Amino acid sequence: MIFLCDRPTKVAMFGWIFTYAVLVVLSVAALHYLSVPWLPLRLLVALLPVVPLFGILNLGMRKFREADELQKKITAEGITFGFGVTTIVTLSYGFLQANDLAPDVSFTWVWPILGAGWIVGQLLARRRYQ
Amino acid sequence: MKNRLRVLRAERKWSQAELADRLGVSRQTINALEIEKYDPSLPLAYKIARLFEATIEDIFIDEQEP
Repeated sequence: MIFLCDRPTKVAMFGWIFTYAVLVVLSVAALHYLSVPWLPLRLLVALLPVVPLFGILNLGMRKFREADELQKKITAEGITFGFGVTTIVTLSYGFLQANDLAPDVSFTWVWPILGAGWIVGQLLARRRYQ
Repeated sequence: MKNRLRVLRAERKWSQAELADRLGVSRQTINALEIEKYDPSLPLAYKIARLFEATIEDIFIDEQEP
């Protein structure tokens, strides 16, 4: 849905993603190269990139509410597909991991899987109504 | 569900985008309605009927009706 939205939304989205990218670099660099001895401050710096994600959440919710009924249906089908794919992939990997058949991976991989599943689901749902 | 949306729109010489604007929906939704891949909600069906000054039954044909 967000990929086919109007220009102001794309600009706002780009702004939040850019802020996120900058904060990821700053956060990682600060924790890696600077000595931050106080644990609460270390936690705060580590979670700094999460702040712009609230902006993306707000933008996404607003666009969803503004969408018409078919767009909402397509988005819901896309998210349902993405949710299902993520469940299957993460659970499968979790079973392999629990039996020492796969290496440990970062939790941050969940979002790319969800995002990819959502995009594929959205494209499949869109095709149904064309 | 079959409908006469494309015919009614053509009679008024409106583009899909123009009809979408008048109904407050996307052009994609108008296209999906016209090719009968999507049935509108009751509020949207009423909105369409009001715009074309017709009844819902005049525009949408329930094929399951005996």
